[in-house]
Amino acid sequence: MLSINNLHVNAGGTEILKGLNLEVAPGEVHAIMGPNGSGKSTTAHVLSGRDGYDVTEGSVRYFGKDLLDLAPEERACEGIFLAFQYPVEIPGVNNMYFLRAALNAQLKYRGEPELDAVKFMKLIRGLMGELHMDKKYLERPVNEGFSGGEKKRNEILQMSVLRPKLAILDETDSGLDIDALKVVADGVNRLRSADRAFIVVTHYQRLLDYIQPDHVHVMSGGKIVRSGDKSLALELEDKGYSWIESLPAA
Amino acid sequence: MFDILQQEFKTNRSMDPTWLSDFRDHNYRKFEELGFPTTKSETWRYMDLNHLRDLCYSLPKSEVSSEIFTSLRFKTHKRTLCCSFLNGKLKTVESGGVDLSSLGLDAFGEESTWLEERLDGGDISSHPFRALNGAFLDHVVTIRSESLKGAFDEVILDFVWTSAEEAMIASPRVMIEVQTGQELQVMNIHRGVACQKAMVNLATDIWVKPGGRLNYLKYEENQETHIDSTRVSVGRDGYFRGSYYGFGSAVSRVSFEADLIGSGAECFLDGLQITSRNEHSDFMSEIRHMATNTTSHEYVKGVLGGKSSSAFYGYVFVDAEAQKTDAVQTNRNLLLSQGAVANSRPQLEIYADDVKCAHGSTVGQLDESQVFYLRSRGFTEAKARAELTKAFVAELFSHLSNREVSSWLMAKAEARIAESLGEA
Amino acid sequence: MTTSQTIDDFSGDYKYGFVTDIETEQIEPGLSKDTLRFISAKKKEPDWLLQWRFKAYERWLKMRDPMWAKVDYPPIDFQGISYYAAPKSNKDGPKSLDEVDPELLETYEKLGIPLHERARLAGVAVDAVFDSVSVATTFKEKLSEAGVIFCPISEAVQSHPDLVKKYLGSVVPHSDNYYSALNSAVFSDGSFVYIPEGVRCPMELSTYFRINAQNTGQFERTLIVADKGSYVSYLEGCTAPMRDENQLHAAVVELVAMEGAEIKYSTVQNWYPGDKDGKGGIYNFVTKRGICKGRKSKISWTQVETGSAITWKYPSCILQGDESVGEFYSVAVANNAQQADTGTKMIHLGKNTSSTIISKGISAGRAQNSYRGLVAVKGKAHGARNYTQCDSLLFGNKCGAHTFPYIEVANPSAQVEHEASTSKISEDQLFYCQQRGLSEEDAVSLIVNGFCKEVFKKLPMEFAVEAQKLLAVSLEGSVG
Repeated sequence: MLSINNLHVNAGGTEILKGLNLEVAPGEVHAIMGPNGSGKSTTAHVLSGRDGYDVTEGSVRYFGKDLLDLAPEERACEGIFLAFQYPVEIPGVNNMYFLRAALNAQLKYRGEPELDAVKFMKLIRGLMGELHMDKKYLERPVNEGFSGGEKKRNEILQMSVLRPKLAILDETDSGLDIDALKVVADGVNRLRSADRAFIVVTHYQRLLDYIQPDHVHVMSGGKIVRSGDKSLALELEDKGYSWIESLPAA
Repeated sequence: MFDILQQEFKTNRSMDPTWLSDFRDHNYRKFEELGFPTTKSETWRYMDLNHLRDLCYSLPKSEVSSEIFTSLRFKTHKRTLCCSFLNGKLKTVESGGVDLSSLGLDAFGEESTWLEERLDGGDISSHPFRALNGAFLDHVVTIRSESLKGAFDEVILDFVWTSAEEAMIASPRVMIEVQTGQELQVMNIHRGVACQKAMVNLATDIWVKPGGRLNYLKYEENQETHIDSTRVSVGRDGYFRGSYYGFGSAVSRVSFEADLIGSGAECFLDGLQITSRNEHSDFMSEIRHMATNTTSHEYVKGVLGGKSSSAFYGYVFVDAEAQKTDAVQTNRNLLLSQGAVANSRPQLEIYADDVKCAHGSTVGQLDESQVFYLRSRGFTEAKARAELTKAFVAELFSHLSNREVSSWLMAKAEARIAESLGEA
Repeated sequence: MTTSQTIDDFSGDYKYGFVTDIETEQIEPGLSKDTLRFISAKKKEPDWLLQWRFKAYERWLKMRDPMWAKVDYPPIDFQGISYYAAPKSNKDGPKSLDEVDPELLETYEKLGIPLHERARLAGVAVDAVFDSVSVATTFKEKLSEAGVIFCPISEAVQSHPDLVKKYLGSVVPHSDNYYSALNSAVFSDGSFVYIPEGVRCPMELSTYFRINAQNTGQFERTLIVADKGSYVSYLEGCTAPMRDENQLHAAVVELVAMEGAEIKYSTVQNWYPGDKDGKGGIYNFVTKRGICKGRKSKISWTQVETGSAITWKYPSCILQGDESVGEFYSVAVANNAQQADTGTKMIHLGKNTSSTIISKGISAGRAQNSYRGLVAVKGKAHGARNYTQCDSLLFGNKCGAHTFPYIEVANPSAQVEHEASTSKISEDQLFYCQQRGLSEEDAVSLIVNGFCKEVFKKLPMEFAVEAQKLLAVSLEGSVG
């Protein structure tokens, strides 16, 4: 479904991605690991269409379309979801209202009937229970006054409601205690299915204890330097990131 | 009201070059046109200058008994240049034998071309006190980083003013230029000694060239009327940090106008006004962001006792070109007594959209629960209030690198606070 | 994200810009004592009121146009304005809704005013002022059962002269400022409300103002008196047709709250703002002031200002009674060539008085939007409290957002806190919304409504919905 080919990306005049290649098929879970500054988050941002990045070379195909041609909201409506590393606060905007507006925008894009408030409430109540989220979060402004863990859970709630085809988790595990981590991982695992893929960007192996990846990639210096299965993550944990730098490019 | 004085002054200074007398005449005419500002003017709203109008002014007398004069003697390190002035005239310099003839510490020296250009450059169309300063311009001190010959990185100007008998008007000017890539600290200290009748009308001009850095301190106390109009221009990636301490002239008005003309220029401005009795202290700043990525942070506190009053005007202008401006202004006032009045007018005028601008202003009193807490630990009430007030002002001294100076200032502040609290 | 396209795309979609084709009686432009006599005679006013008008007029002649506001406009030709215009068929005033010109009713339909059926459903009593006269006041009977007086001020002059005489000009004296003096001289109508002691007004009262006739100014006068322990919520809406010339609206609103009384005054102001080049539009120069006379009284102003070429207004509170409360909640939007200079004054006189100011300014296009506000704590106002928050949002770098607070504190037990911020719409927020599938326009509208939430939630429900829609229309095309 996703095919990244020799992707080069500049940000602020510096080349961050230097020839990234990645193939993701439906149903797969890919973990991308790597030290700070290796280009992990940039990859997540470029895929979701964030401003401020220049693609200088290479291509990204998504279900046969040129992904880089689409506006951020079109990508969202086409089923790409980014769980933000730092979820954004939107003062004054009710969390539930926001979520329903987003869902209905996507339903409309796909030509499906929009959900009214009653149906939506029914849907969301169940999901919140699964994520151990208090209903009070629905009445609060989006992410405002949420703790770090609550924000991340709110991201997973949004993902559960929007049911994307490709979910990108950008360091969703950072700053979470072990209980919150399990809740987040459960939320992801519940959504795993044959037609849905995940890209899990993480700095630590810890999350992968709970979300079993099919493939693990290690990034360094703007490209993937090594790919493998789950054992690669353990090896990396064991040897540390300095090990990567000594490796020849894959 | 200055006609006779001007004639006298012109006669005294008949040997001065033509450009200088022209400059004075031009300024004098401008002042006559403008007159003293009134409270009808938006930026002079809280300051009554009526007492200045009907006085018969005289010029500063330099033949003053030196008995009243003790210059500040900080145990300065080698790289500090200490200069003392009595009624504007240079008295002592501790330069450690370095030749400073090109510095221009007294009157007009060798610097006339440099001076001529810079004096002429300043706009006085809406600045009556600047015009008045120009009209009677007598003593000019110029500090140029390159003239310090690498021997000094700190200059202390200690001005002592005295005039107990006659209504004196003094018009000193201080000009500071920090060259590209150079760094300097300057302290501009104005003390009144037996100074019940003096109006000190200072004008200060500061240029921080690209990449230059200036730490500037202004101190003022114990004059009848103290006016200071400071203009600052900061070039690309330049840094200006100004600190103002106003510790009790009967009427004082200190203004900073800073133009951030180069991209990346920074301006930090701190101020502390401590007033008591019937004093009035006006602090005004006008910061103009004219280039991208410029920063200004302003932090001004006031402590008011007796029947004193203060005003803070903080104006920030962001030009349409000045994207990525970061401007913050904060004004906090502590009212210690019934009868004291604090006025605060932060202002933002913004024409660029990609900016981060904010201001905050508070007027309040000591937290009674904190007072109670200290008393429950054995402090007397007076002591508790004094300690909490000191704590309120303490942060305005923390950035000063010269410990001698900061402890001198803190002792001054403590005395002033005791005075203000005594009247509560 | 760029905002450079902005204004060019803006179509100036002012849906209230129609002109109603009804016969109007309008006097020739010009202002003199005869004009005052004419208006006074039309209204069959008692002599004291005519004399009062004369006094105001003479005062006005000696005054000058205020220059301190950050607005720019050519001198107004006061002789070029017609000071009285009335729908002709209503020369003698309608006795009931059935007597109102059907075309006029249709106008109100278009405006979305709940006058007929909708009025009953919404439970809103409406006094509609069309050009210079009140054309219909609904629900009079139900209100009078509760002892509430709600009628055109011209009628109140006849039916309750003592109340009018006592309070007219008591909060905004005719000498207060240039435009209040002019209004006092030439005001032609407006609303009068009196809530008797202990009465909670059974429904929300509402006035809609509309300028229809050409070359007219509108000078209405509103007076609301809430007696001890009473409560009233009053709504005000305004529209005007699209015309190329500027029209002047100089109203005066006076509120009086006695001990324990509460007045909630909400405005959705959508006068014609002029076209995108700044041609035409209303000059909205309004003086609104309330006095909290009695202990524990409360006055709350809420305004959503999206219209007018120029807005110059500062709804204020004089907090005279001990423990009285003043509030000001404002959203001001300025787009294209609009100029807004608005804010409030909170004058603390009594002990333990408190005030809250929340101001949200939005600038787009080439507009200038200023907050100007005074918080004054006088010497005897022990324990006074004020909290002020002013936030500005900018779209594009051709507009301006300005904040001019005046804080004057003369009591050492007062606590006054002012905060202000200015920023553009956050890229992070926009991207977050877009990543969830919202279009840029929807994302902007969502974020802006969130920005204004604190103010909107102070409005009665149906007004809040209208305000949100207005906001969206006003900012349409502002983000490229």
